Amino acid sequence: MNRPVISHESAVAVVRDSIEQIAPDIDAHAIPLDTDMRIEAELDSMDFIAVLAAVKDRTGVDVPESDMATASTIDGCAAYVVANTTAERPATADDRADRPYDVNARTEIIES
Amino acid sequence: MTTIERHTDVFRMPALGADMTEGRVVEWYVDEGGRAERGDLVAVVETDKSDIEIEVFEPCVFEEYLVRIGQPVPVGEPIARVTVDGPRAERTPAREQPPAPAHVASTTTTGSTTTTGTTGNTTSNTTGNTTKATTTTTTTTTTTTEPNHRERATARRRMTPRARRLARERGVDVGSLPTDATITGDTIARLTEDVRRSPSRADRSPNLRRAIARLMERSWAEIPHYHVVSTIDLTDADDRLQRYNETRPVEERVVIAALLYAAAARAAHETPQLNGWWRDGTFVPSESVDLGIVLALRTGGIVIPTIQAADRVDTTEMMSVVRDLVERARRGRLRERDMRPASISVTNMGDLGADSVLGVIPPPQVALVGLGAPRLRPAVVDDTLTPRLLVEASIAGDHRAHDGMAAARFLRHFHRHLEDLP
Repeated sequence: MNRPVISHESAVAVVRDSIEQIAPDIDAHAIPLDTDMRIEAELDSMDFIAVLAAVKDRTGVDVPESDMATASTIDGCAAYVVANTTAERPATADDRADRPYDVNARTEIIES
Repeated sequence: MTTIERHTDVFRMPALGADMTEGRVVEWYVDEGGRAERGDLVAVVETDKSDIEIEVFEPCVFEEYLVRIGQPVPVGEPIARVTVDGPRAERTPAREQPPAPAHVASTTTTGSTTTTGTTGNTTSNTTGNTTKATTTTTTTTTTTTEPNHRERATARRRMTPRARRLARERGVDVGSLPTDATITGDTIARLTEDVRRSPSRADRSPNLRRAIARLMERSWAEIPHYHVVSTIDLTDADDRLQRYNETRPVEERVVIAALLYAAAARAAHETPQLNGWWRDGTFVPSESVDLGIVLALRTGGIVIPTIQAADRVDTTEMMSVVRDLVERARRGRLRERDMRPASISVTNMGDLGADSVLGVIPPPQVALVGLGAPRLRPAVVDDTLTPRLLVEASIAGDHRAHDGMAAARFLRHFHRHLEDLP
């Protein structure tokens, strides 16, 4: 099926929320979707980790270290979230047996 | 503590820095009649520099508030009547806060005569109204999830007074919320409206700016600064971190800044001449390494919260401690314990910063570690020119207290710890 349980627009909103949580004085809507948020919002490496942790809190999607560059734009981060939040997503190298994935739990969080 | 003796006592406005003359309670986390355990955060006190969360040091019941929300209260004045379970040990700010922390300058309160919720134009006026449950007091107070923090013992769903009030007023069905974490006012507020943005922060800027100005003026006038710089190769340390992070979920990953802070704290422990205070014409060494972290606020200005006994904090723990500090500093919600005097401080430009920094020491400390942005630069390794990740590390030293040799020794120890630390 691979039906996305979160739309790209929702994922973008989640990423923006996460940025604003870490940097309350930033207007995430002012950050262009395709530019590096780290530079645009002056997020240092510690802030950026915190943003990705906030995204994970909201969606359950853990952006691995190797994909952090891709996830440094709002669009890129949102796309990663969408790709990894499908109802029956294909197994990827990032899947780990010790971190079970619970689609239903995540869906609730997203919609609440 | 052997005897348990109940007695009535007062809870006083704490001194959050020796120069602080007064503060304003802007939120109570405990209801009148409510109980607080040792270490519980019970109130938010507003100063010029930050809103600071206040904790209790012994179990007690808050019988009655003695001050209004937003009312300016001199340091040491009673702010609440409490019943204490333990032996009589009145908590006096003078005892709790011995030396002068460099990071809280005096609070010459302006616009403070109002107590009706319209807090003038000077200070965070969003927090002035919390009794009426305005929801602008920023977001998730992470207080209740910190490991060291003892949760309020309560059989019912854990909620802050503000959260209960908001839920009641807005008709939020609390039963539908997750039970795994304490529900804060912000949780409730977020369900009903968007309160992430905190328009108050800019309002504090003029006061914060003045406080920094006083501190820096004093530093520059009093301290004969010298500076010493070393270039340190972070390549191996960075490789180690990369390997560590590869297998870890995002919340457990460590950035190089955490390693730099941990190494600096250890170097300070091994260079006692740099770790302490200049007082009354003489150097007073500190027994522990209480590391001040200079944090730049986006709205302008800096705050310097303290990590106590930082030389005993390992790298991964340092990462979470600093992340937590940064987040709370940004929200203007530092805690009382964050504001204790530092024995030495670090200013870290971070990966977006300039190449190097030669700092100005926050008195009465005698040294400031300055870290530039780590960058790939050409370096000679085994007679070969090769790109390496280098950082310019400096010491700003108080020449009254020590000499360049001590600073150079610090930087050697710092370098060694960067190689050794896991």
